[in-house]
Amino acid sequence: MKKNRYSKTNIFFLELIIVIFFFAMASTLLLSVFVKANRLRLASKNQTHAMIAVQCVAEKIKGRGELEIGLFPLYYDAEWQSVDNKEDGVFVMNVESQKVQTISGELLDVDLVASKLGKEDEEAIWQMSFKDYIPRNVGK
Amino acid sequence: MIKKDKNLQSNRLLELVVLFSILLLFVGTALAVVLVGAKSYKLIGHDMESNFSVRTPIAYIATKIRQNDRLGSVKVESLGEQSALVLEENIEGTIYEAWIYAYEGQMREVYIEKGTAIAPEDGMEIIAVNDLKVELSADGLLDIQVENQDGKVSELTISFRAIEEGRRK
Repeated sequence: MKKNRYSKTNIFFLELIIVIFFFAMASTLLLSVFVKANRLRLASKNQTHAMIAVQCVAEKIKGRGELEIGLFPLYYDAEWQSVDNKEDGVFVMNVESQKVQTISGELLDVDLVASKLGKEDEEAIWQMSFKDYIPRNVGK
Repeated sequence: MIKKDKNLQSNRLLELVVLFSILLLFVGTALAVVLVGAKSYKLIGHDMESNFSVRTPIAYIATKIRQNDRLGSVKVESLGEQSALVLEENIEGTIYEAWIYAYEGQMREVYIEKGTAIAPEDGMEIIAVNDLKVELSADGLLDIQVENQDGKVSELTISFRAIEEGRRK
């Protein structure tokens, strides 16, 4: 009788182990889905803000029609608010520009690349290139 | 015989303790997975809403400006204590104005014939915002600042194509 009772417990124990095994497999899958969803959430949030920041800088450059030629960085904090120092920055937007002289004016060629600070070479969050034609008689 | 029975009883007790511990661990882990999932879902929902409320007012105003990007047709006026963006349009000789502003937690728009008196509550509700500031800068750029319901501030500067054309001719 006693032997029979022990075997029942063992069967339940075995059943529980099997259930836990399948549960562990499902949990691993679910957790990896949650982690990926979280990464996508952050990427989407950063893309939205980076897109607005890049558009803002592009409009300012086009509106003013003048720009310091070369490469210069603009820094942003975690909430995509502009900051002056690199130390306070979490994100960076590299503004690279060059001017091409044409017969009747100048062609301003600008590249804007927003990325996470320290990961500039790895992956851009948002990127935009534009050209702005400035006729020669402007400002004369 | 009594000793053997006692041993068996203690073994059984140990087995039960281990079993319940595993069962408890299983329930705890299941609960943790559900909680992590719920938190993740909540965060995703919140961020989607936040992204929408950050992007939509700015995109809406930018589109309206692009549609009305003609010389002298974009102005900044004040309506009560708020700044309002005013877009003028000439339809068959009559000038109409679209006023875009924030009032009582909503971005609103009202379309009127120029000169018609309006009250802030007249505008049609577009999207929930805490605050909307529009400002024309000295270099002819329009600065838009929107604060959404979470208190997040997003800014956009817009350059006018019409002014640009005028400036460059």
